[in-house]
Amino acid sequence: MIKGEDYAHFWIDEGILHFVYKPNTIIDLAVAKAIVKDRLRFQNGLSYPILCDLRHLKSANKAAREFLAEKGCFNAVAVALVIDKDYLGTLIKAFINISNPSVPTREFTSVPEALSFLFDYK
Amino acid sequence: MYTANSQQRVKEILDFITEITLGNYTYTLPLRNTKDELEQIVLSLNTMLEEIDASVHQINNEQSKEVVENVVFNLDRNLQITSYSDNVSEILKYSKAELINKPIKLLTTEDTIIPYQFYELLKSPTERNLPFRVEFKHSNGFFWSGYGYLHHIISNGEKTYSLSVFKAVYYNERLKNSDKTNKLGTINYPSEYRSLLLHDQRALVRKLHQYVMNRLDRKLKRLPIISVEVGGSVSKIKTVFKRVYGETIYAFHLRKRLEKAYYLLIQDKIPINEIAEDCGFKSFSHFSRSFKKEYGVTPSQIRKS
Repeated sequence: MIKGEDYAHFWIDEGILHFVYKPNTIIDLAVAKAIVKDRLRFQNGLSYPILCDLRHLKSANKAAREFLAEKGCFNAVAVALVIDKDYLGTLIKAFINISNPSVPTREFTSVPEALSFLFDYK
Repeated sequence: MYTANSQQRVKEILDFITEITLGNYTYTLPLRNTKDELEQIVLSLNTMLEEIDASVHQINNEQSKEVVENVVFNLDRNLQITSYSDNVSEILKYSKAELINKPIKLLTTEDTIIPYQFYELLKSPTERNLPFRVEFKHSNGFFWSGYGYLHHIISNGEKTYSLSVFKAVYYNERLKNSDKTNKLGTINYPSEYRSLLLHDQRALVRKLHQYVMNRLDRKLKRLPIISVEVGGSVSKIKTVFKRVYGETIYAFHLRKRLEKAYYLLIQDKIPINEIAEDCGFKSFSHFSRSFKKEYGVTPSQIRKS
């Protein structure tokens, strides 16, 4: 049984859901499903803006990206992705432009920038 | 500056690019445990390849069908290869000497667990033989992954096994035909779906998809209004959408809303009427009816189960 908590930490702080992937995580469809399931249970029906820290992420495949763009956005108001641009730049561009996340999604390279974007959605 | 290790990596990347150029979109290049420039390139290439694969089959979705590739290895009691199907050398590019009498473990990656406890399973033959994930190493270092079964072969002599691995791949009829015609010196472009090869048409479909997906919590407006908001005439958005997704905009929207509802029903504990509202259904009965039509059971039955 794959548990979402094995791949990411999440907590709520000042009305924003923080979501940090653990180092060297590779997301495939099964992992993506587990993560979204745990997040929805955790949120208990409420919607939050989400700060998603991907700086330690290793990779996410196409199936996982499509899943996260659709079902990964349930109960999310907006998503700010914090990335290391050199490493994940192409992957995130593909995610935002091709997989089309169903809520406003933007990429940032630092947490403060991301928080100021999410502040408008609180 | 370049170590032997990175030179080897560069060679792997160049081979990988050659494979893409030749139209093989079914491999991925495994990532190493660093985040240096070469790994950045590999990750970008893998992403690019997945997107090319998806868009190629979106453009030609009529002519491209999913087929199953199957490789078979016969193994002796120590799980060494005694014989194999003829497509192994074609898919994994190994020579006969590299395969015969070699342990199967040499071909698979560390993540692949050949169920040795299978010996245990054999003792209780009623136990179901479940497929497990198998990743093979291509001779150039790519991964070829699929799902496999390890069968115990019944015979009079020694215990033997057969490892059969399946992978779903896209097989492009049109590409194959155009290969044939190329030999005669003519190039036949896909005519019927040619419009989807145009960048702005693909952008329109993407925009429409996004428009629909952003509105899973409400009813869609009428087509003329959508066409104004997205840009493009009513007939154009209708045909283009149907060509790519195989159903009308409204049917797609309804299906996605029901999928969302189904997902929330099994994963979340929020009340069903809130889910109905969240998925853009005006009344609970309308929701329940549409849901039953799609899935054959009512939402409350799903909740109870």
